[in-house]
Amino acid sequence: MNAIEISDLKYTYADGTMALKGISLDVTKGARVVLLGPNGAGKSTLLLHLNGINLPQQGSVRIFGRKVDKETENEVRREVGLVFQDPDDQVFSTSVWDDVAFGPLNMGLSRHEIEHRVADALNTVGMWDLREKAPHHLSFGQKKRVAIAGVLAMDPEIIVLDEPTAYLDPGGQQVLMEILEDFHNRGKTLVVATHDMDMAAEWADSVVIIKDGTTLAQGGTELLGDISLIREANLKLPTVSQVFSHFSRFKDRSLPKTVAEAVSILEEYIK
Amino acid sequence: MKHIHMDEFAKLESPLHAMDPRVKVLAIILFVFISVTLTRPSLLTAAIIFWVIALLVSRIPVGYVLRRLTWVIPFAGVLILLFPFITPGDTVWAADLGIIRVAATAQGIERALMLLLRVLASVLAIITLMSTTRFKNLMKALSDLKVPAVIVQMLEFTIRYIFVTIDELKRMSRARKARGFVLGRNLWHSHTMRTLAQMVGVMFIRAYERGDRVYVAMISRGFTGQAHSLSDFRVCLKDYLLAGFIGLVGAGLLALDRGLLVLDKGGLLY
Repeated sequence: MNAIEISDLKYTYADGTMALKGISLDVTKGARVVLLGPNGAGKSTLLLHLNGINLPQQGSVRIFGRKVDKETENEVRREVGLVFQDPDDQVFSTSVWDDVAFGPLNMGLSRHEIEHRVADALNTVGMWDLREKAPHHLSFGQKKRVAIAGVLAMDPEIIVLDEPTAYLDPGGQQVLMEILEDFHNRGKTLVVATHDMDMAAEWADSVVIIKDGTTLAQGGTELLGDISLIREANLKLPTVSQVFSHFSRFKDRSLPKTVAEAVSILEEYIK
Repeated sequence: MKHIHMDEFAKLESPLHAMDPRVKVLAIILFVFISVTLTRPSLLTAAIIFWVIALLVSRIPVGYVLRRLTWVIPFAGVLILLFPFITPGDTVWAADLGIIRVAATAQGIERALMLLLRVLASVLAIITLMSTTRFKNLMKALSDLKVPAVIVQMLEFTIRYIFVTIDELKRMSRARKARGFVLGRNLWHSHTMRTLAQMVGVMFIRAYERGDRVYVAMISRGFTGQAHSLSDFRVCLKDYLLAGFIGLVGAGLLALDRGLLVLDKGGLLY
Protein backbone atom coordinates (compact mmCIF):
# COMPACT_ATOMS: atom_id res chain seq x y z
CA MET A 1 0.00 0.00 0.00
CA ASN A 2 1.28 3.45 -0.86
CA ALA A 3 1.68 6.05 1.87
CA ILE A 4 0.16 8.75 -0.31
CA GLU A 5 -1.97 8.31 -3.42
CA ILE A 6 -3.28 11.35 -5.18
CA SER A 7 -5.34 11.04 -8.33
CA ASP A 8 -6.52 13.83 -10.59
CA LEU A 9 -6.73 16.34 -7.72
CA LYS A 10 -8.29 19.67 -8.63
CA TYR A 11 -8.72 22.70 -6.41
CA THR A 12 -10.05 26.18 -7.12
CA TYR A 13 -9.85 28.98 -4.56
CA ALA A 14 -12.86 31.10 -3.69
CA ASP A 15 -11.54 33.96 -5.83
CA GLY A 16 -11.60 31.72 -8.90
CA THR A 17 -7.88 30.95 -9.02
CA MET A 18 -7.47 27.38 -10.18
CA ALA A 19 -4.47 26.27 -8.16
CA LEU A 20 -4.55 22.54 -8.92
CA LYS A 21 -5.67 21.35 -12.34
CA GLY A 22 -5.25 17.62 -11.98
CA ILE A 23 -2.40 16.40 -9.83
CA SER A 24 -1.64 12.69 -9.64
CA LEU A 25 1.19 11.12 -7.70
CA ASP A 26 2.09 8.14 -5.55
CA VAL A 27 4.49 8.02 -2.64
CA THR A 28 5.68 4.68 -1.29
CA LYS A 29 6.09 4.13 2.43
CA GLY A 30 9.48 5.18 3.76
CA ALA A 31 10.33 7.22 0.66
CA ARG A 32 12.21 10.52 0.63
CA VAL A 33 10.31 12.64 -1.85
CA VAL A 34 11.12 16.12 -3.07
CA LEU A 35 8.34 18.19 -4.53
CA LEU A 36 9.72 20.68 -7.02
CA GLY A 37 8.06 23.43 -8.96
CA PRO A 38 8.31 27.14 -9.63
CA ASN A 39 6.52 29.69 -7.43
CA GLY A 40 2.79 29.55 -8.03
CA ALA A 41 2.89 25.97 -9.31
CA GLY A 42 0.50 24.92 -6.54
CA LYS A 43 2.97 23.35 -4.13
CA SER A 44 1.56 24.92 -0.96
CA THR A 45 -2.03 24.21 -2.01
CA LEU A 46 -1.05 20.60 -2.62
CA LEU A 47 0.68 20.26 0.74
CA LEU A 48 -2.43 21.54 2.53
CA HIS A 49 -4.35 18.66 0.94
CA LEU A 50 -2.07 16.08 2.49
CA ASN A 51 -3.54 16.41 5.97
CA GLY A 52 -7.00 17.56 5.16
CA ILE A 53 -6.63 21.31 5.69
CA ASN A 54 -7.84 21.63 2.11
CA LEU A 55 -10.28 18.91 1.13
CA PRO A 56 -10.35 17.70 -2.50
CA GLN A 57 -12.95 19.43 -4.65
CA GLN A 58 -12.37 16.90 -7.41
CA GLY A 59 -10.20 13.81 -7.49
CA SER A 60 -8.98 12.14 -4.33
CA VAL A 61 -6.20 12.00 -1.77
CA ARG A 62 -5.57 8.71 0.02
CA ILE A 63 -3.29 8.30 3.01
CA PHE A 64 -2.41 4.63 3.58
CA GLY A 65 -5.42 3.75 1.52
CA ARG A 66 -7.83 5.90 3.50
CA LYS A 67 -9.63 8.59 1.59
CA VAL A 68 -9.20 12.10 3.03
CA ASP A 69 -12.58 13.74 3.59
CA LYS A 70 -14.60 15.54 6.26
CA GLU A 71 -14.98 12.32 8.27
CA THR A 72 -11.35 11.25 8.26
CA GLU A 73 -9.61 14.64 8.43
CA ASN A 74 -8.91 14.48 12.17
CA GLU A 75 -7.39 11.00 11.96
CA VAL A 76 -5.39 11.96 8.90
CA ARG A 77 -3.83 14.84 10.83
CA ARG A 78 -2.29 12.31 13.21
CA GLU A 79 -0.83 10.36 10.33
CA VAL A 80 0.50 13.34 8.40
CA GLY A 81 2.51 16.05 10.14
CA LEU A 82 2.95 19.36 8.35
CA VAL A 83 5.95 21.61 9.06
CA PHE A 84 5.22 25.09 7.73
CA GLN A 85 7.72 27.37 6.08
CA ASP A 86 7.64 30.20 8.64
CA PRO A 87 8.12 28.78 12.15
CA ASP A 88 6.52 31.93 13.56
CA ASP A 89 3.26 30.70 12.06
CA GLN A 90 3.56 27.37 13.78
CA VAL A 91 5.30 27.95 17.10
CA PHE A 92 2.77 30.02 18.99
CA SER A 93 2.94 28.93 22.64
CA THR A 94 4.55 30.75 25.54
CA SER A 95 7.37 28.25 25.91
CA VAL A 96 9.16 25.70 23.75
CA TRP A 97 7.98 22.80 25.89
CA ASP A 98 4.35 23.87 25.75
CA ASP A 99 4.49 24.29 22.02
CA VAL A 100 5.80 20.80 21.42
CA ALA A 101 3.14 19.47 23.83
CA PHE A 102 0.35 21.17 21.85
CA GLY A 103 -0.15 18.38 19.31
CA PRO A 104 0.00 15.50 21.83
CA LEU A 105 -2.44 17.41 24.09
CA ASN A 106 -4.88 17.72 21.21
CA MET A 107 -4.55 13.97 20.69
CA GLY A 108 -5.75 13.47 24.25
CA LEU A 109 -2.73 11.47 25.37
CA SER A 110 -1.93 10.82 29.01
CA ARG A 111 0.32 13.20 30.85
CA HIS A 112 3.04 10.61 31.15
CA GLU A 113 2.95 9.85 27.43
CA ILE A 114 2.99 13.56 26.56
CA GLU A 115 6.05 14.22 28.72
CA HIS A 116 7.80 11.26 27.17
CA ARG A 117 7.04 12.33 23.61
CA VAL A 118 7.98 15.97 24.17
CA ALA A 119 11.30 14.97 25.71
CA ASP A 120 12.01 12.58 22.85
CA ALA A 121 11.09 15.13 20.16
CA LEU A 122 13.11 17.93 21.77
CA ASN A 123 16.13 15.68 22.16
CA THR A 124 15.87 14.58 18.53
CA VAL A 125 16.11 18.18 17.30
CA GLY A 126 18.63 19.16 19.99
CA MET A 127 16.39 21.70 21.74
CA TRP A 128 15.84 20.01 25.11
CA ASP A 129 18.12 22.44 26.94
CA LEU A 130 16.06 25.39 25.69
CA ARG A 131 12.68 23.87 26.59
CA GLU A 132 11.76 26.65 29.03
CA LYS A 133 12.57 29.49 26.61
CA ALA A 134 9.94 31.73 25.11
CA PRO A 135 9.85 31.34 21.30
CA HIS A 136 10.52 35.03 20.65
CA HIS A 137 13.94 34.67 22.25
CA LEU A 138 15.00 31.93 19.83
CA SER A 139 16.87 32.29 16.57
CA PHE A 140 15.15 31.44 13.29
CA GLY A 141 16.92 28.08 13.06
CA GLN A 142 15.98 27.21 16.63
CA LYS A 143 12.34 28.10 16.02
CA LYS A 144 12.41 25.90 12.95
CA ARG A 145 13.67 23.00 15.01
CA VAL A 146 10.92 23.59 17.59
CA ALA A 147 8.35 23.55 14.78
CA ILE A 148 9.72 20.21 13.60
CA ALA A 149 9.71 18.81 17.15
CA GLY A 150 6.08 19.91 17.53
CA VAL A 151 5.16 17.74 14.57
CA LEU A 152 7.45 14.87 15.54
CA ALA A 153 5.85 14.68 19.01
CA MET A 154 2.59 13.62 17.35
CA ASP A 155 4.51 10.66 15.91
CA PRO A 156 3.06 10.90 12.40
CA GLU A 157 3.91 8.25 9.79
CA ILE A 158 4.33 10.89 7.11
CA ILE A 159 6.14 14.19 7.65
CA VAL A 160 5.70 16.97 5.12
CA LEU A 161 8.03 19.97 5.19
CA ASP A 162 7.49 23.18 3.22
CA GLU A 163 10.80 24.78 2.24
CA PRO A 164 12.67 23.47 5.28
CA THR A 165 16.04 24.90 4.26
CA ALA A 166 14.79 28.39 3.39
CA TYR A 167 16.55 31.17 5.35
CA LEU A 168 18.68 28.66 7.26
CA ASP A 169 22.43 29.24 7.46
CA PRO A 170 24.70 26.42 6.24
CA GLY A 171 25.11 25.08 9.77
CA GLY A 172 21.35 25.11 10.28
CA GLN A 173 20.83 23.33 6.96
CA GLN A 174 23.30 20.67 8.01
CA VAL A 175 21.45 20.11 11.29
CA LEU A 176 18.18 19.92 9.38
CA MET A 177 19.55 17.29 7.01
CA GLU A 178 20.67 15.22 9.98
CA ILE A 179 17.20 15.47 11.50
CA LEU A 180 15.65 14.33 8.20
CA GLU A 181 18.12 11.45 8.04
CA ASP A 182 17.07 10.44 11.53
CA PHE A 183 13.38 10.48 10.51
CA HIS A 184 14.20 8.36 7.49
CA ASN A 185 15.99 5.82 9.65
CA ARG A 186 12.89 5.60 11.83
CA GLY A 187 10.95 4.54 8.74
CA LYS A 188 8.98 7.77 8.30
CA THR A 189 7.79 8.80 4.86
CA LEU A 190 9.15 12.26 4.06
CA VAL A 191 7.85 14.81 1.58
CA VAL A 192 9.85 18.01 1.17
CA ALA A 193 8.79 20.94 -0.99
CA THR A 194 11.89 22.89 -1.95
CA HIS A 195 13.66 25.09 -4.47
CA ASP A 196 17.02 23.79 -3.38
CA MET A 197 18.06 21.58 -6.31
CA ASP A 198 21.32 20.52 -4.67
CA MET A 199 19.52 19.36 -1.56
CA ALA A 200 17.03 17.51 -3.76
CA ALA A 201 19.87 15.78 -5.63
CA GLU A 202 21.78 14.79 -2.51
CA TRP A 203 18.89 13.74 -0.34
CA ALA A 204 15.87 12.50 -2.26
CA ASP A 205 15.17 9.07 -3.67
CA SER A 206 12.04 10.15 -5.47
CA VAL A 207 11.16 13.34 -7.34
CA VAL A 208 7.84 14.97 -8.19
CA ILE A 209 7.84 18.02 -10.44
CA ILE A 210 4.70 20.09 -10.73
CA LYS A 211 3.93 23.11 -12.86
CA ASP A 212 0.76 25.16 -13.34
CA GLY A 213 -1.21 22.85 -11.09
CA THR A 214 -0.40 19.63 -12.90
CA THR A 215 2.14 16.86 -12.40
CA LEU A 216 4.89 17.38 -14.97
CA ALA A 217 6.94 14.34 -14.03
CA GLN A 218 7.40 11.78 -11.29
CA GLY A 219 10.34 9.43 -10.95
CA GLY A 220 13.79 8.91 -9.49
CA THR A 221 16.51 11.53 -9.08
CA GLU A 222 17.57 11.03 -12.72
CA LEU A 223 14.82 13.56 -13.50
CA LEU A 224 16.97 16.26 -11.89
CA GLY A 225 19.62 15.78 -14.59
CA ASP A 226 17.13 15.87 -17.47
CA ILE A 227 17.90 19.21 -19.11
CA SER A 228 14.77 19.56 -21.23
CA LEU A 229 12.46 18.61 -18.35
CA ILE A 230 14.18 20.97 -15.95
CA ARG A 231 13.98 23.78 -18.46
CA GLU A 232 10.30 23.12 -19.09
CA ALA A 233 9.63 23.24 -15.36
CA ASN A 234 11.41 26.63 -14.98
CA LEU A 235 13.87 25.03 -12.58
CA LYS A 236 17.62 24.76 -12.82
CA LEU A 237 20.03 21.85 -12.79
CA PRO A 238 21.82 20.90 -9.59
CA THR A 239 25.23 22.65 -9.44
CA VAL A 240 27.12 19.44 -10.21
CA SER A 241 24.96 18.75 -13.29
CA GLN A 242 25.45 22.32 -14.48
CA VAL A 243 29.20 21.77 -14.59
CA PHE A 244 28.91 18.49 -16.53
CA SER A 245 26.30 19.89 -18.93
CA HIS A 246 29.11 21.94 -20.52
CA PHE A 247 30.93 18.81 -21.72
CA SER A 248 29.79 17.39 -25.05
CA ARG A 249 30.42 13.78 -24.05
CA PHE A 250 27.57 14.05 -21.52
CA LYS A 251 25.14 15.34 -24.16
CA ASP A 252 23.39 12.04 -24.62
CA ARG A 253 23.66 10.48 -21.21
CA SER A 254 22.19 11.32 -17.89
CA LEU A 255 24.16 14.02 -16.08
CA PRO A 256 25.69 13.29 -12.69
CA LYS A 257 23.81 15.16 -9.96
CA THR A 258 25.60 14.62 -6.68
CA VAL A 259 29.11 15.34 -5.52
CA ALA A 260 29.71 11.58 -5.04
CA GLU A 261 28.63 10.79 -8.61
CA ALA A 262 30.85 13.56 -9.96
CA VAL A 263 33.82 12.34 -7.97
CA SER A 264 33.50 8.76 -9.20
CA ILE A 265 33.25 9.93 -12.83
CA LEU A 266 36.24 12.23 -12.46
CA GLU A 267 38.28 9.47 -10.85
CA GLU A 268 37.74 7.37 -13.99
CA TYR A 269 39.22 10.10 -16.16
CA ILE A 270 42.09 11.00 -13.90
CA LYS A 271 43.34 7.38 -13.75
CA MET B 1 16.36 40.67 16.73
CA LYS B 2 16.76 41.03 20.49
CA HIS B 3 13.70 41.53 22.62
CA ILE B 4 13.00 42.50 26.20
CA HIS B 5 12.51 39.69 28.64
CA MET B 6 9.19 40.39 30.24
CA ASP B 7 9.77 37.88 33.01
CA GLU B 8 13.52 38.01 33.30
CA PHE B 9 13.50 38.12 37.11
CA ALA B 10 10.93 35.35 37.49
CA LYS B 11 13.69 32.79 37.90
CA LEU B 12 15.03 34.27 41.14
CA GLU B 13 14.32 32.63 44.45
CA SER B 14 12.18 34.15 47.17
CA PRO B 15 8.98 33.27 49.05
CA LEU B 16 6.89 35.15 46.47
CA HIS B 17 8.66 33.42 43.58
CA ALA B 18 8.03 30.03 45.10
CA MET B 19 4.36 30.78 45.80
CA ASP B 20 1.73 28.86 43.87
CA PRO B 21 0.79 31.15 40.94
CA ARG B 22 -2.94 30.63 41.35
CA VAL B 23 -2.95 31.55 45.03
CA LYS B 24 -0.63 34.44 44.30
CA VAL B 25 -2.91 35.81 41.58
CA LEU B 26 -5.94 35.63 43.86
CA ALA B 27 -4.18 37.20 46.86
CA ILE B 28 -2.66 40.06 44.88
CA ILE B 29 -5.80 40.83 42.88
CA LEU B 30 -7.78 40.92 46.12
CA PHE B 31 -5.22 43.33 47.56
CA VAL B 32 -5.49 45.57 44.49
CA PHE B 33 -9.27 45.72 44.89
CA ILE B 34 -8.86 46.67 48.52
CA SER B 35 -6.24 49.31 47.88
CA VAL B 36 -8.30 51.18 45.29
CA THR B 37 -11.10 51.54 47.82
CA LEU B 38 -8.88 53.02 50.53
CA THR B 39 -9.70 56.66 51.20
CA ARG B 40 -6.85 57.82 53.41
CA PRO B 41 -3.52 58.83 51.90
CA SER B 42 -1.61 57.47 54.89
CA LEU B 43 -3.05 53.98 54.46
CA LEU B 44 -2.41 54.01 50.72
CA THR B 45 1.16 54.97 51.51
CA ALA B 46 1.30 51.99 53.85
CA ALA B 47 0.10 49.73 51.02
CA ILE B 48 2.79 51.17 48.74
CA ILE B 49 5.45 50.58 51.38
CA PHE B 50 4.17 47.01 51.77
CA TRP B 51 4.73 46.30 48.05
CA VAL B 52 8.08 48.08 48.00
CA ILE B 53 9.19 45.77 50.81
CA ALA B 54 7.74 42.77 48.96
CA LEU B 55 9.69 43.73 45.83
CA LEU B 56 12.89 44.21 47.84
CA VAL B 57 12.45 40.85 49.57
CA SER B 58 11.88 39.25 46.14
CA ARG B 59 15.16 40.87 45.01
CA ILE B 60 13.61 42.54 41.99
CA PRO B 61 16.05 45.30 40.88
CA VAL B 62 14.88 48.84 41.65
CA GLY B 63 15.76 50.09 38.16
CA TYR B 64 13.49 47.48 36.60
CA VAL B 65 10.57 48.50 38.80
CA LEU B 66 11.10 52.20 38.01
CA ARG B 67 11.22 51.46 34.28
CA ARG B 68 7.96 49.56 34.58
CA LEU B 69 6.40 52.44 36.52
CA THR B 70 7.18 54.92 33.75
CA TRP B 71 4.63 53.07 31.58
CA VAL B 72 1.92 54.42 33.87
CA ILE B 73 2.74 58.06 33.05
CA PRO B 74 0.91 58.27 29.72
CA PHE B 75 -2.24 56.86 31.33
CA ALA B 76 -2.49 58.32 34.82
CA GLY B 77 0.12 61.08 34.54
CA VAL B 78 -2.03 63.39 32.44
CA LEU B 79 -4.96 63.13 34.84
CA ILE B 80 -2.76 63.64 37.85
CA LEU B 81 -1.34 66.83 36.31
CA LEU B 82 -4.78 68.11 35.27
CA PHE B 83 -6.78 67.37 38.42
CA PRO B 84 -5.52 70.33 40.53
CA PHE B 85 -6.65 72.77 37.83
CA ILE B 86 -9.99 71.30 36.82
CA THR B 87 -11.46 70.48 40.22
CA PRO B 88 -13.57 73.27 41.71
CA GLY B 89 -12.72 74.31 45.28
CA ASP B 90 -10.55 76.64 47.34
CA THR B 91 -7.82 78.23 45.28
CA VAL B 92 -4.35 77.79 46.71
CA TRP B 93 -2.31 78.94 43.76
CA ALA B 94 -3.14 80.94 40.65
CA ALA B 95 -1.41 82.45 37.69
CA ASP B 96 -2.51 84.86 34.97
CA LEU B 97 -1.52 83.75 31.52
CA GLY B 98 -2.84 86.76 29.62
CA ILE B 99 -6.25 85.61 28.42
CA ILE B 100 -6.72 82.63 30.70
CA ARG B 101 -6.24 82.23 34.38
CA VAL B 102 -5.17 78.92 35.85
CA ALA B 103 -5.86 78.12 39.44
CA ALA B 104 -5.03 75.08 41.50
CA THR B 105 -7.46 74.10 44.23
CA ALA B 106 -6.80 72.27 47.47
CA GLN B 107 -9.49 69.71 46.60
CA GLY B 108 -7.89 69.20 43.19
CA ILE B 109 -4.47 68.59 44.67
CA GLU B 110 -5.95 66.12 47.10
CA ARG B 111 -7.72 64.27 44.28
CA ALA B 112 -4.51 64.17 42.27
CA LEU B 113 -2.60 62.86 45.27
CA MET B 114 -5.19 60.14 45.91
CA LEU B 115 -5.11 59.06 42.29
CA LEU B 116 -1.32 58.98 42.30
CA LEU B 117 -1.22 56.86 45.46
CA ARG B 118 -3.92 54.48 44.25
CA VAL B 119 -2.20 54.00 40.93
CA LEU B 120 1.13 53.42 42.64
CA ALA B 121 -0.31 50.93 45.12
CA SER B 122 -2.08 48.87 42.44
CA VAL B 123 0.65 49.03 39.82
CA LEU B 124 3.32 48.04 42.34
CA ALA B 125 1.19 45.07 43.36
CA ILE B 126 0.80 44.01 39.72
CA ILE B 127 4.52 44.53 39.06
CA THR B 128 5.22 42.25 42.02
CA LEU B 129 2.91 39.61 40.54
CA MET B 130 4.30 39.91 37.01
CA SER B 131 7.96 40.04 37.94
CA THR B 132 7.91 37.08 40.32
CA THR B 133 5.89 34.78 38.06
CA ARG B 134 6.91 33.22 34.74
CA PHE B 135 4.54 34.47 32.05
CA LYS B 136 3.57 30.96 31.07
CA ASN B 137 2.78 30.05 34.66
CA LEU B 138 0.71 33.19 35.02
CA MET B 139 -1.33 32.18 31.97
CA LYS B 140 -1.74 28.64 33.28
CA ALA B 141 -2.82 30.03 36.64
CA LEU B 142 -5.44 32.20 34.93
CA SER B 143 -6.82 29.27 32.98
CA ASP B 144 -6.81 27.09 36.12
CA LEU B 145 -8.75 29.85 37.83
CA LYS B 146 -11.41 29.48 35.12
CA VAL B 147 -10.67 32.76 33.39
CA PRO B 148 -12.35 32.25 29.97
CA ALA B 149 -10.00 30.52 27.52
CA VAL B 150 -10.59 33.24 24.93
CA ILE B 151 -9.12 35.86 27.23
CA VAL B 152 -6.12 33.75 28.24
CA GLN B 153 -5.41 32.83 24.62
CA MET B 154 -5.73 36.45 23.56
CA LEU B 155 -3.14 37.45 26.17
CA GLU B 156 -0.83 34.65 25.09
CA PHE B 157 -1.11 35.44 21.40
CA THR B 158 -0.64 39.15 22.04
CA ILE B 159 2.62 38.57 23.87
CA ARG B 160 3.82 35.98 21.36
CA TYR B 161 3.07 37.99 18.24
CA ILE B 162 3.76 41.53 19.45
CA PHE B 163 7.46 40.70 19.05
CA VAL B 164 6.96 39.27 15.57
CA THR B 165 5.05 42.43 14.65
CA ILE B 166 7.71 44.70 16.13
CA ASP B 167 10.30 42.88 14.02
CA GLU B 168 8.20 43.40 10.92
CA LEU B 169 7.77 47.09 11.70
CA LYS B 170 11.51 47.49 12.21
CA ARG B 171 12.28 45.77 8.92
CA MET B 172 9.75 47.91 7.12
CA SER B 173 11.11 51.13 8.56
CA ARG B 174 14.63 50.06 7.68
CA ALA B 175 13.55 49.32 4.12
CA ARG B 176 11.86 52.73 3.94
CA LYS B 177 15.05 54.42 5.10
CA ALA B 178 17.05 52.44 2.58
CA ARG B 179 14.94 54.01 -0.13
CA GLY B 180 15.60 57.50 1.17
CA PHE B 181 12.51 58.10 3.27
CA VAL B 182 12.91 60.79 5.93
CA LEU B 183 10.24 61.51 8.53
CA GLY B 184 8.60 64.87 7.99
CA ARG B 185 8.95 67.48 10.73
CA ASN B 186 5.26 67.86 11.45
CA LEU B 187 1.86 66.23 11.28
CA TRP B 188 0.91 68.21 8.18
CA HIS B 189 3.62 66.72 6.04
CA SER B 190 1.40 64.77 3.68
CA HIS B 191 4.03 62.45 2.20
CA THR B 192 5.07 61.30 5.69
CA MET B 193 1.50 60.86 6.80
CA ARG B 194 0.52 58.94 3.69
CA THR B 195 3.52 56.64 4.02
CA LEU B 196 2.88 55.94 7.70
CA ALA B 197 -0.82 55.38 7.06
CA GLN B 198 0.01 52.85 4.36
CA MET B 199 2.38 51.13 6.73
CA VAL B 200 -0.36 50.82 9.35
CA GLY B 201 -2.65 49.39 6.68
CA VAL B 202 -0.06 46.87 5.58
CA MET B 203 0.50 45.85 9.19
CA PHE B 204 -3.20 45.12 9.59
CA ILE B 205 -3.29 43.02 6.44
CA ARG B 206 -0.17 41.13 7.42
CA ALA B 207 -1.47 40.48 10.92
CA TYR B 208 -4.72 39.21 9.44
CA GLU B 209 -2.92 36.87 7.07
CA ARG B 210 -0.57 35.73 9.80
CA GLY B 211 -3.58 34.94 11.96
CA ASP B 212 -4.92 32.75 9.18
CA ARG B 213 -1.65 30.89 8.81
CA VAL B 214 -1.28 30.39 12.56
CA TYR B 215 -4.80 28.98 12.69
CA VAL B 216 -4.12 26.59 9.81
CA ALA B 217 -0.93 25.43 11.53
CA MET B 218 -2.90 24.86 14.75
CA ILE B 219 -5.59 22.84 12.98
CA SER B 220 -2.86 20.88 11.31
CA ARG B 221 -1.67 19.76 14.74
CA GLY B 222 -5.10 18.51 15.66
CA PHE B 223 -6.59 21.66 17.22
CA THR B 224 -10.37 21.41 17.30
CA GLY B 225 -11.18 24.59 19.18
CA GLN B 226 -10.66 23.27 22.68
CA ALA B 227 -7.80 24.60 24.73
CA HIS B 228 -6.08 21.97 26.81
CA SER B 229 -3.50 22.80 29.36
CA LEU B 230 -1.18 20.78 31.48
CA SER B 231 -0.51 22.33 34.80
CA ASP B 232 1.37 20.82 37.64
CA PHE B 233 0.77 23.43 40.30
CA ARG B 234 0.50 22.15 43.84
CA VAL B 235 -0.74 24.29 46.66
CA CYS B 236 0.91 23.75 50.01
CA LEU B 237 0.50 25.24 53.46
CA LYS B 238 3.20 27.86 52.81
CA ASP B 239 1.15 29.26 49.92
CA TYR B 240 -1.93 29.63 52.10
CA LEU B 241 0.09 31.25 54.87
CA LEU B 242 1.64 33.77 52.50
CA ALA B 243 -1.71 34.48 50.84
CA GLY B 244 -3.25 34.78 54.28
CA PHE B 245 -0.60 37.28 55.26
CA ILE B 246 -1.19 39.40 52.13
CA GLY B 247 -4.93 39.18 52.68
CA LEU B 248 -4.56 40.10 56.35
CA VAL B 249 -2.51 43.20 55.55
CA GLY B 250 -5.17 44.19 53.01
CA ALA B 251 -8.01 43.53 55.45
CA GLY B 252 -6.17 45.46 58.16
CA LEU B 253 -5.74 48.48 55.91
CA LEU B 254 -9.41 48.32 54.96
CA ALA B 255 -10.48 48.08 58.60
CA LEU B 256 -8.30 51.05 59.57
CA ASP B 257 -9.66 53.02 56.63
CA ARG B 258 -13.28 52.41 57.58
CA GLY B 259 -12.57 53.22 61.21
CA LEU B 260 -13.33 49.69 62.40
CA LEU B 261 -9.85 49.57 63.79
CA VAL B 262 -8.14 52.54 65.38
CA LEU B 263 -4.42 52.84 65.61
CA ASP B 264 -3.43 54.55 68.85
CA LYS B 265 -0.12 55.18 70.56
CA GLY B 266 -0.87 52.42 73.01
CA GLY B 267 -1.70 49.85 70.38
CA LEU B 268 -4.76 48.69 68.54
CA LEU B 269 -8.19 49.70 69.74
CA TYR B 270 -11.39 48.14 68.47
